[in-house]
Amino acid sequence: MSGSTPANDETRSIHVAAMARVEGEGALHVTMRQGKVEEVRLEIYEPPRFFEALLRGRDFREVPDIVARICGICPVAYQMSACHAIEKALDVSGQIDPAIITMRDLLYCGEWIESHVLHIFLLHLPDFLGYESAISMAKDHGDLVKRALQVKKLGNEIIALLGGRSVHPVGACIGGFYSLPETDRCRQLLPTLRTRLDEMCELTLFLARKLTFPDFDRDYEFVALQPAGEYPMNRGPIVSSRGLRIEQEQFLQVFEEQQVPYSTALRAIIKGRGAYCVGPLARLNLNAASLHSRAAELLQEICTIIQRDLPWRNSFLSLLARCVETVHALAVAGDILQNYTQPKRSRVPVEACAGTGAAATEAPRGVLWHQYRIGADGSIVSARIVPPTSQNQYQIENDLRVLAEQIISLPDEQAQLRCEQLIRNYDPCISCATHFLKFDRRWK
Amino acid sequence: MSDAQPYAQARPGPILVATCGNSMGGDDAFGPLVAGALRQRPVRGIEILDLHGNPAQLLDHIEGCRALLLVDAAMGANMRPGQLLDMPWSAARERLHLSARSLSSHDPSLVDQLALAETLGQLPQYARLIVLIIPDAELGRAPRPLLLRRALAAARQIHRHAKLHLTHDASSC
Repeated sequence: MSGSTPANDETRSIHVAAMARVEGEGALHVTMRQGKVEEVRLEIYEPPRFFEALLRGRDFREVPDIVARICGICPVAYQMSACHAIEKALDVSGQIDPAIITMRDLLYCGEWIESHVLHIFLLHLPDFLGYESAISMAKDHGDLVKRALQVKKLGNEIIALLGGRSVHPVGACIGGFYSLPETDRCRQLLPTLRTRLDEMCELTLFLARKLTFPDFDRDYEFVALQPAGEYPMNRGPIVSSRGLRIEQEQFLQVFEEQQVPYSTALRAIIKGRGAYCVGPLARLNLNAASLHSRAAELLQEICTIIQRDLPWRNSFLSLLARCVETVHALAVAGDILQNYTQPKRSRVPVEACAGTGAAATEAPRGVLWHQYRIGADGSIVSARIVPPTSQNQYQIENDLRVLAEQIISLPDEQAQLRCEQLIRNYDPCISCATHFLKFDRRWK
Repeated sequence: MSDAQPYAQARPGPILVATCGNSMGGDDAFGPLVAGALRQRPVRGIEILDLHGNPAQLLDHIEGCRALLLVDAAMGANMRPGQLLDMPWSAARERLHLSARSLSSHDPSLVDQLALAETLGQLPQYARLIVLIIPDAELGRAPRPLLLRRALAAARQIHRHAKLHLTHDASSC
């Protein structure tokens, strides 16, 4: 890393030594000309492309276990989108028992809790408190980190309850679950859950009071699912803050993935409009009225503390959005566990037949859309997976373009840090990291 | 952290063997292969945790274990592919010049997780790293034939470590 400070009129090539790999590589290239940003390129390697090819020819029953390996942080999201899409293709969606639907929501709650808390406290919060990493932050804020890890652990316990294990859970299948827990096992989690719910509320209010959020309001088109009367996880039409409203099957009629020459990831746009934003900020802005009452009360307090009502258009506020969603997930999980009785059957029988189905669910990072075409023998003919990170890529680049001009006078090392902080607002799967960037800023 | 008196100072609890790796990631499948080999010959007192590609789960399981044996593949410019190394965690960081990315393709990395556990006072005194040095980890490629042999060798080493702990327990009763 050169560490140089720019002079506006010089022609300079500033190169930061390549950072170690993430799931593939992430790189950011910024070209400045006469003090203006000429180009911003965010390069992403996208594992789902490989998995789309891998799935061809496999039996439909294998799909949930395979796609769970696309992302180690959000396997449930991939499994749920896959199950819903394949069930539509096999025309069994309408037969799924309400109890199974509810337990899928519980499974998703576990993932939101685990993923959000991981990101908030281990990856994102160090930025706001001025630490290089969670490790250096933990030296001064050990109690805070320990409390957060306890909440995260509960998320994993919920996943393991239904998924058999928390890492690459194996309990979900087409039609439901291989088995569902006994009633008592579910109730045993309740005391811990109530404690963690209170903890998370306290931690959230602490963050709202303590943190300072940079001014960075932008005019986003937010996109999320919007089921009637509930906060989105497993279902709902796709809506946007600019009036879009479509069924999940219509996704490709409205959204388009474009190839860009500098990235193996496809970049998604809304046809005729351009970049859009998915994730917790989008969900909250579009669905706040459907939050669990516990989360709604918390949101009210947060708005008072930070003196900002919804909609929040500042991606740095995504940290608080994730906090609110974590509380929502904990509260919903508590209700489900409180009312749970082990159902007579854990899954509906499913037979192979030809068909095509598409579905979207709300991964922790945003809308995750799957489409499958299945042959008469039950083998996958084609698969299409659109992850939230690639949907946000264009918006991230747009944000970086604005930010790059704001930080033009900073030395490269500080500029890189600010860019990474902004990217972390989106909690992208490529980078969930302190050191993912190959940062290259060129002056012309 | 010294490895000199591991057994006397070990706290009660299982010996946690945490493996990390991607079974679809070529030679990165080393960790899952070791987990599989261990499950073929289970030993009482050993708890196997296959983290797959998500080392962030480690901290959920580390509390209360008497010893931690970490198994992973590693890459790095100063490491010779094919080497199977077994050393205390404290020594591994220095001798192998481990960076966050040597062991993990995804953050928070295994190195970070252990550093965090140490900072929070949760890392057991007896913590070792058993690592296979690999040249690459290509998604979709089958692991090299050498990998299974090394996985079996690693499983035997883990059994030896466990036996030492468990034998000490029996003799001190």
